[in-house]
Amino acid sequence: MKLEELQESMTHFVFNQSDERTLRQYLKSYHGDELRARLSIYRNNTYHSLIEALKDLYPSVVNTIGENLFTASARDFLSNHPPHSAAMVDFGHEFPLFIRTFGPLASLTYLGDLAAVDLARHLSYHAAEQSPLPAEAFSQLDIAAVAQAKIKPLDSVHLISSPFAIFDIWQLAQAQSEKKVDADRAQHILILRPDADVDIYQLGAGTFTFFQQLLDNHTLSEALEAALEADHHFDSTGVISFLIQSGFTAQIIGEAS
Amino acid sequence: MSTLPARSGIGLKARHYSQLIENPTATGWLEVHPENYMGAGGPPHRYLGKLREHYPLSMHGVGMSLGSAQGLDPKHLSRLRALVDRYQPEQVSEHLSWSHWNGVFLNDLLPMPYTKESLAVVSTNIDKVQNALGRRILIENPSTYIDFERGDYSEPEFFRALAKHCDCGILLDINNVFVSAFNNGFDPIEYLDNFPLAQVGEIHLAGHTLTHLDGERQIRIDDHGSEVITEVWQLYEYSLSLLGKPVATLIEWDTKVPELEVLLAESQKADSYLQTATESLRRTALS
Repeated sequence: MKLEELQESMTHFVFNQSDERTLRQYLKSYHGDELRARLSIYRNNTYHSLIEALKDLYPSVVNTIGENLFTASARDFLSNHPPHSAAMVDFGHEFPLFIRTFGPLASLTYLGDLAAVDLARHLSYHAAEQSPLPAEAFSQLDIAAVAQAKIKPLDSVHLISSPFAIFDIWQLAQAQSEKKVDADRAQHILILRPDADVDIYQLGAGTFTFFQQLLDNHTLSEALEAALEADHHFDSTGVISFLIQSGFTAQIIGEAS
Repeated sequence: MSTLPARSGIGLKARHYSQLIENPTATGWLEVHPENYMGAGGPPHRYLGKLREHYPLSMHGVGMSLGSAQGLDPKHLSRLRALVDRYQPEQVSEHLSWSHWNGVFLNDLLPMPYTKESLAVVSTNIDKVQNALGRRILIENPSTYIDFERGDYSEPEFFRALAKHCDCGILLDINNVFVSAFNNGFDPIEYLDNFPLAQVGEIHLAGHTLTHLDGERQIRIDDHGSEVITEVWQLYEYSLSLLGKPVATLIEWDTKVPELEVLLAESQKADSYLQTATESLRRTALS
């Protein structure tokens, strides 16, 4: 018996790529359907534990489409995207892309973006520990010099821009509300973890542009300029105060002191 | 390096973090699956760091796949090493099983035949882990639902050979002995009588489910979602009498996780068995 061949056959069986016949040669002779029933325990354990892990990872999607549809989509996902790591923090990252193409849910065009919000919150939760630059650190800075500085964000920062009302849909999913929203409005989200809890904010178009520019390594003044261009009602003073209060900043780079 | 105390501990679950921090003497020690702490940061590390200040810690891996013919995942091993360096657990353990092939990870503990080839594969993999961590690890006996056609060793013989080849310790899961004995038709007492108990450094106790297999047949599923059953407590008592020493004993409860009080009641029950065993040994020594 070659151990590697047995492990190959068993992996194919568990992920539904072959039936129990390829495994029969390695195992005791069981009667009738008993072999399949015994082997199916391993398939069920694998799928059950991974579907539970996906439910924990995508709670808003579960709340929006219900347990049954979620389980059906998760089964299909696992057969196409089996995990490649034993660390649960690595698992299921392809699900937002997958669900956009999952036939039975194709009419819910916003689901991929909703799943992206859940994934961003998960990644933010497990991101490296960092303390944001405290508000006092900003008050001591020279305004003119800061304008030319760049902002290094916390590792937990994620920005999401959606053509759908993704913040409203996410909020309804948290409340498990049946209320309807007009989904066809663009919304933008900032996710970050300045301390123990993951925070989520809805951003206006200008504020989103501002943060996107900072993530793309532009200076503060460039970010403000781009934001004003994107949104003529953009509030420059307000956004600086939000930048400080949200705890977005890990470090200010290039600020002449 | 200190060792786990010879009393009972519980598996650490997220829903009990705060209660255990408030009561730092609730149980003798804690066990975690390192796979749940492989993120860079976040609240799980904050809680574990805090709890580590008060409790002895065991890291019980479920993803190393020591039985993989293709060898270990080097990334997983380096992540485990980083966690062991960070938290300095009193004990590190893994399973006699495999869970990945060709980069696909099955998230379950799959069984392997007890052949000379398997012994060579597992020994090489255990050596790599022990060398990377710079410490001895314990290997746990599996719960299984199928049996293999041919083997060169019985399970106790395989463990005896492993311990000799690798100088590893053994984690004896008594619920697994009971579950596998029922599912594969062997005598659990005979199994324990032949087991290399001198190498056992930790015991696991857990609940399981008796369910329908096919036709008239039943099967026991090791789901860690209920109280330890009477027959497993009896096997525990028997094992302690054979061991001749109290051994750190874990109450495992991983699915349908109950209130902390339920786990602590099970843990206290294990402690009372350990206490009785210790007293009986003392009497024997004095007589």
